[in-house]
Amino acid sequence: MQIQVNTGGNVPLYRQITDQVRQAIAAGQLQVGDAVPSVRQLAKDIVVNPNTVAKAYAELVRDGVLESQQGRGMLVSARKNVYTKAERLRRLDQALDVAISEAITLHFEMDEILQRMQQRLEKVGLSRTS
Amino acid sequence: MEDNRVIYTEDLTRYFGQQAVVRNLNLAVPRGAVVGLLGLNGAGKTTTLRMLLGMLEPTRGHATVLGKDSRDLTPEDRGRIGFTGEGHFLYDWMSIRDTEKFGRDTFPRWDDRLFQETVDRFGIARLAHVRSLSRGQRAGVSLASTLATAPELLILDDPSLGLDPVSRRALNETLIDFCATRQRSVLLSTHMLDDVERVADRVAIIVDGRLLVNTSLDDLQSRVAIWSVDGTFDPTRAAHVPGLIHSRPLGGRWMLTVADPDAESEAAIARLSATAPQRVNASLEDIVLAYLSRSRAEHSFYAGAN
Amino acid sequence: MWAVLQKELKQTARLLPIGWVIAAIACYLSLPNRQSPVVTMLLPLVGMVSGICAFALGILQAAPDLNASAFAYLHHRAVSRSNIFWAKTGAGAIIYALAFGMPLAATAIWLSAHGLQDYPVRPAQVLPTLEFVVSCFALHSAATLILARRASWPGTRAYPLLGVATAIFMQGVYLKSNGLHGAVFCMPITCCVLAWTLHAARNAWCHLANEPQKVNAFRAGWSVPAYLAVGAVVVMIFIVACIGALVEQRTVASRGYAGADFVDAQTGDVWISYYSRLGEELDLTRTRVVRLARNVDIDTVEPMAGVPPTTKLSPMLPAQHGEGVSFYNSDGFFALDYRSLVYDCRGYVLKYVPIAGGGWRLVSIYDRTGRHSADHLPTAPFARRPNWLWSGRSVFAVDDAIVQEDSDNGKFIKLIDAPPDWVAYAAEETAPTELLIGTGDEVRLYRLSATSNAPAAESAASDVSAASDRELLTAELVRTIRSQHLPKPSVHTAVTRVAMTDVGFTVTGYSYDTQQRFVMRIDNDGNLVEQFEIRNSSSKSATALVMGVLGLMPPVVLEAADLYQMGLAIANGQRPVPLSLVNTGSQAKLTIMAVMLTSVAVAIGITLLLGRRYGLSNRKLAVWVLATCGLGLAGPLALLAIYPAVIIDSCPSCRRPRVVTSNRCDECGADWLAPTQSGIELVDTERRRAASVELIT
Repeated sequence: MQIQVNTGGNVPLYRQITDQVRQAIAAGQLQVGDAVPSVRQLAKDIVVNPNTVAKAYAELVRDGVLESQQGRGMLVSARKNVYTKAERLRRLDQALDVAISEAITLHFEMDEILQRMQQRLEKVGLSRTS
Repeated sequence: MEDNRVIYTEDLTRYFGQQAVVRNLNLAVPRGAVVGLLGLNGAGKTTTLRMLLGMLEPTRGHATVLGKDSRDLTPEDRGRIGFTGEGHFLYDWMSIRDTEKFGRDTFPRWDDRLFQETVDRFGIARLAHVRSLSRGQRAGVSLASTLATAPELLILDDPSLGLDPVSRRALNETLIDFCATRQRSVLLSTHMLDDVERVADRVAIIVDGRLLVNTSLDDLQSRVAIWSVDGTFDPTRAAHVPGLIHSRPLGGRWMLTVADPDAESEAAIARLSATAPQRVNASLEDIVLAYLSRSRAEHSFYAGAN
Repeated sequence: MWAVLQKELKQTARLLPIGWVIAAIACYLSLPNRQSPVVTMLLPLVGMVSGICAFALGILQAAPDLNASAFAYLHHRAVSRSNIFWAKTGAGAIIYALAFGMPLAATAIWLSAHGLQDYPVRPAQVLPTLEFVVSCFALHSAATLILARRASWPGTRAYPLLGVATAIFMQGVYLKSNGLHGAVFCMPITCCVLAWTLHAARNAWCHLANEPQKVNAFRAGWSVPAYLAVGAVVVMIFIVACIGALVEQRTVASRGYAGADFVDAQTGDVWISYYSRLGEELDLTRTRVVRLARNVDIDTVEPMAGVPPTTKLSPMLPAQHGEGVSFYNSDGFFALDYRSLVYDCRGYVLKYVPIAGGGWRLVSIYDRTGRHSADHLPTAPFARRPNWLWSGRSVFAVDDAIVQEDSDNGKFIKLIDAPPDWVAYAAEETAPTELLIGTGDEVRLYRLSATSNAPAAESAASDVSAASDRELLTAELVRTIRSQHLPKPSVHTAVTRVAMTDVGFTVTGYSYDTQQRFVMRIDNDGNLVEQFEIRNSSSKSATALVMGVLGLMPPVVLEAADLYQMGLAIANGQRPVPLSLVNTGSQAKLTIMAVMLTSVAVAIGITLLLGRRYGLSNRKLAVWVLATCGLGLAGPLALLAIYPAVIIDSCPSCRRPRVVTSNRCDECGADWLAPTQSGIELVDTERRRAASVELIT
């Protein structure tokens, strides 16, 4: 897992860390039971205040993404808890917003977009649940 | 109860001549925190730090550092506080070895290994003479001399001034290393907002001798919002917006930075604007700039509107 | 502390060669040579140079560390400020001691190598200079104190220098002419001055040095304010002295004393010569003589053009006191007469001759019994410095007699066997004719005549002795007047000129108590005919004016001067006269009193005004008013030096002006409020902070 933070943006550093951990889990780079770097190590690696890293980890623990185990440090606990429901929706909307605005700029109609979308989803193996 | 604050000041005030350079400052630094102290040149940062170190008598008020009144710091207390002043002062006529020896002889908890580590991080040959050092290397030796004293509290006055990017990186790494145990505290005055964002977890902003902000970075970022309103907005009426920090024009629109926005301030902004105002996310830089711009604004139209 | 001392030594060591060069040049220049065979310049020259060096060293050591970053770098260490000060001063002292100690030691070695045989010098002559160099180190502390204490240079910044510089200067003047006794006497003073300056400088360094503006000097304890008060007094004395000199120059009598007194041999009347003084021009062509009498004011009486033809005036003889004027330039070790006779203060007279190659050689040594060889010091030293009465140098006024040297065996032959209080003589060419001697209650007139029984042939060999030297004299007592009224030289009185006349004895003198010249006449039976002060109304009113200026002096200084002169009188076994300074006539006394009272009143007024401005409490103000009564105008000056101006701001509660340093408003009693909140302050509360702490652990 590679975590990189950028300063000067309007996303606080601790959120950049939580996001990247969640993404790594979502993308399968981190499996359940894998250890993440210690606060100290990560702080050192990415040159960020350890309190900021600790705050990010604390949030991930609170959300059930990570759990602290005696002697083994921070472990990835369960994939399902990566995001809350609301957060998942917010992120989906965010991604869709980008795609939709691009599609509109390119003069696609709604039907074309939906059709295209469906094709892509089927291609990665998702199908309608009901 | 053990006091969790390594520094706290009560109505710390200092006049130079007729001018109050620091006014009723109430600064608290919790143990383990890294506080970025921000402010324009002449805002009173250095004066505050000098008072904290007992190098300047407060006109009024008190400063308590590591549980001691700053006016009564004993040599032992000084041994627990690391300080690096503006410009990284070192004796030009000394070699690095002399500097190291001078530090070792005058601090009881001097740690040669720490000195070595820091000097190495800045890539400095130990045999060099101080006067032959570059600005960055000088900063390295200066920091190394301070960190080698194994302080509990580190006070740095603009350490990154004039440093190249590599030295700045080394400085940040050094500081992160220093506070890795999260038991040691740092008060860092600087103009480098990027560094503050990385290295600090708290910020304190001084404007015209007054402390306007003293909170954690994310508290600050979550409590300040920016609204973008269209150009018909009249800036002189903006004073009626509760919590308005600063307003500035940006490409035909006005950006209003507001502290602790609530329904009331949102409504006030809505009233000022012809179209619906848009809330945008604020970066640390936006917020700090808004605060620092007040220094100048207060002396112009803003003062009259108050 | 040792680390700081080491660092200071390393930093300062580069100044050492400069110090050596300066000190060595000063020592070298004061070594004796053919033109000036004594080393009287050692103390003034080396002393002045050492004072400048000590001050410069203090500045060079303190100034670089007063820059804020440098100050923090040095002082933010596990070393107390006091130790840092002592390390700095210690390093300064070591460098200073090396810079001056070594050249002085070399000088002492040189002097002991050349002592007495080549030049009238002794290695011990270095000691007063050494002591003076030591006390000059106080200027190092004064420099530190000046730099540590912020004030404006045209204002009160130089005060710390003034007090100590004055003390050192006075000590130098004393040491210059008092030899080893002076050095021993000054030792406690040296120690006190050094200790006080060091203490004050240490306190200033510990408590004031990092303040970029002037602060209340009492923050540094008592020593610094006391020191500044002394500075203020010195400033006041200096100002008064300048004004006094100016006034004196402007108003001094139009007629001045030309320095010669004449006597009418028949009547015993005294005539004095004076010159007219127009401004500062001395007009010798208008020098006149005027007859003195009790009621004659020489400023009002019309000068007689010349002397009436019936009067025969003869000059009165200048009286020489026991300690002769023929030796000068004494440093307490050696005194030189105008040629090559040297008085060694251990009680010998050394006779040198110049030798080929530029130096001198000791040829003989005199003691009470006469001339001896130069090999070793003889055993009967003089009790006091003898007087050489004639240029031929064969007649001496020694401890208890007038003697003449027998040129054959060098033995002293007694001419007159009486201890002289003063001696006056008339001489024709090199041959003495008459000699007046005051001894106890008697004044005696002798006539001297030569008995030409000396062998004249062998005189050619010596270049010093002339034929008249070889003649032995005889003294014939002509007249004696015995009187209990005879003035004797003392700290109160000087006998200036004397004359024996047909009708008695006439003397003019000077009273140190009244600062007036006087005339005294005694008849042949020893009765006092008349005694009066020479009246000189314009000089008297000038004196009154100068005295008036003196009234501006701090009253404590006048009182101290008075006590000093009284103590001196008691020490000399004389009657102490209180207020003799002011005892110059009722006019002067009145002026000085009036000026003093006025100046004290004005000073109190200024003190009250300043005290209000400096925000002093009523109690402190009362103490200052009391102090001003003693300090006069120096009181407000000290106040000015000690306190900074108070900063006034308007009270956030009652809007009236109030002092920013006090927590409560004098007017409304309110605290200082935090500046009004503008609603943009973002401070995490305790609760919030607690929550965030919980979060990250």
